[in-house]
Amino acid sequence: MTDDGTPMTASQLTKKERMAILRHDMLEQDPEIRAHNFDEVNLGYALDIARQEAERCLQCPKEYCIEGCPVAVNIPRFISYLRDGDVHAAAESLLGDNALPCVTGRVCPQETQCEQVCLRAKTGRPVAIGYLERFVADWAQAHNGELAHATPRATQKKVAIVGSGPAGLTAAGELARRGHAVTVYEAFHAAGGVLLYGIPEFRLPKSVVQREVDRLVAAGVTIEPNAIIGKTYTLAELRESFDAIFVAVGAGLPVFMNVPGENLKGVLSANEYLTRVNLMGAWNPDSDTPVLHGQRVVVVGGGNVAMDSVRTARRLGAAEARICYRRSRDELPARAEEVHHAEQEGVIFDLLVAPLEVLGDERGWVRGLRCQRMELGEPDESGRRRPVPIEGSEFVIDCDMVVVAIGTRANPVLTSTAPDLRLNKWGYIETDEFGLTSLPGVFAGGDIVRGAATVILAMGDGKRAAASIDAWLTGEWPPASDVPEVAVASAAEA
Amino acid sequence: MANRIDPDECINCAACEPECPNSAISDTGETYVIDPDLCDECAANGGDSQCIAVCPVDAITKAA
Repeated sequence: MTDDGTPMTASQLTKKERMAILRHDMLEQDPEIRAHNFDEVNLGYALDIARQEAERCLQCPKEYCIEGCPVAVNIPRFISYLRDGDVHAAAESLLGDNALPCVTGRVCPQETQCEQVCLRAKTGRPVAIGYLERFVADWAQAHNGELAHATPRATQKKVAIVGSGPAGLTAAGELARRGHAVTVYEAFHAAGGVLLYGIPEFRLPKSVVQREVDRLVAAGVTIEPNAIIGKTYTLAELRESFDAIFVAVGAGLPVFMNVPGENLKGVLSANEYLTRVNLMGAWNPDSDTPVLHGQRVVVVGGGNVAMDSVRTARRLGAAEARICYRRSRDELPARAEEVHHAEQEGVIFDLLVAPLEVLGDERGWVRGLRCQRMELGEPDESGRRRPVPIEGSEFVIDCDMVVVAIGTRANPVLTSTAPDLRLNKWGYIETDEFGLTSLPGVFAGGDIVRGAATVILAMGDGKRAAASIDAWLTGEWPPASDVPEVAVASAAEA
Repeated sequence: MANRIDPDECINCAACEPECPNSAISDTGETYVIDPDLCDECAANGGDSQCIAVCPVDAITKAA
């Protein structure tokens, strides 16, 4: 019997019948209501809906979707178990491939990865792979005690992981599974990195992240919070105590606009704004660490961080919350679903608009953003059409708060105290194809190597690095990697 | 000898087209079709037709 009491039966539909099933939409909180709370927007599939959606999968002989996945999740396999009603097997299949499926099922840009290459997308809508992953992963969290937990033989090797974001947590899980003793160092008081301080509660509930961390701790991983490598301990000190190190500190240094008025009161980086709201609990009116509640908020930028910021501002009571982005809608790097949700929640999009100056009042508070309209010219080196200013098009958006969400760079706290660690000219750590840095036994991955990217790309780095570190520790160097390099475009910085 | 795509089964997904070593497959708009003058059923591959191997709906068959 399956978990809903229905019989477990192999799916019997013909391919034609599968093709006739339309994609099942995600149930969501009503936009009018959710624009004023921090509860999760997407409500998830019920089991019967998940099984019906799974029936849409054609189980293609050539597995395009796996090729589209940065961590090579065996998507047809877990979907096949699900459609036969064996959620348990689906969960074990998925968890074997992906250390954080509850996270990726929520924040991956599926539309540029697995779902983009799904054959059904050619003539209709792709199988909702992300929603199915989320369903199976949430089931696995709720039924954690029923899943098989292998107890690997301890290797007596010690690995330190610096940073508890998606790259670090993925590597931690993979290394613990291979029997190594893993300690994860985290600068903040709680593990999760960008999953905790960056992505808001309404998109990725913190309880979901916590349960993923709990699962790693149960698997033997030690978390050391409040430890800043580069301040509390140096990298050199860690190397004395560990057999290998994985540096996955992210790219947490905000980039600013460099326009006049950026130091006025009421201008925040998205990092500060989201960290104060998400990690420090400023969304709670009783918080000891409140944040400015703008009534008319302009967020500069068009990525996922910008969408998170503007939707957060809306939830904190902004009557007017706007996105100011210098290119057009087609170039927005954010996930399509985030843009759609923001629009539903009443966010106003000022597209083809670039900021020139933040205007202040006589007391030094923001009162407006002077902007210029743009038009699209020739494609630039990123392949996107370059925005070109339109002469004489200047105007002012009245506002009392400006959030700058135009990207992040490498944070120098760790690297500036590790003189032998080779960096590139932008301050990111240089690694070879196996993730090895210029220091023996020190590996690196995620945003501190590739620059600000997505959760799933960081997780792919973590998975690859774990395989490399395992090979390093067991003397089988260089390693044989079975995790493919990423072949699909990634525009968003989830 | 040539393979044939059943137009009633083809879902127009384009999976077969890039696989064909002889560029025998094209899109009519509604379905894909195999040019029998170009298709040799992948003779060089021992008759293991690339298009049949990737078709997700088993719409391609060898000529009887």
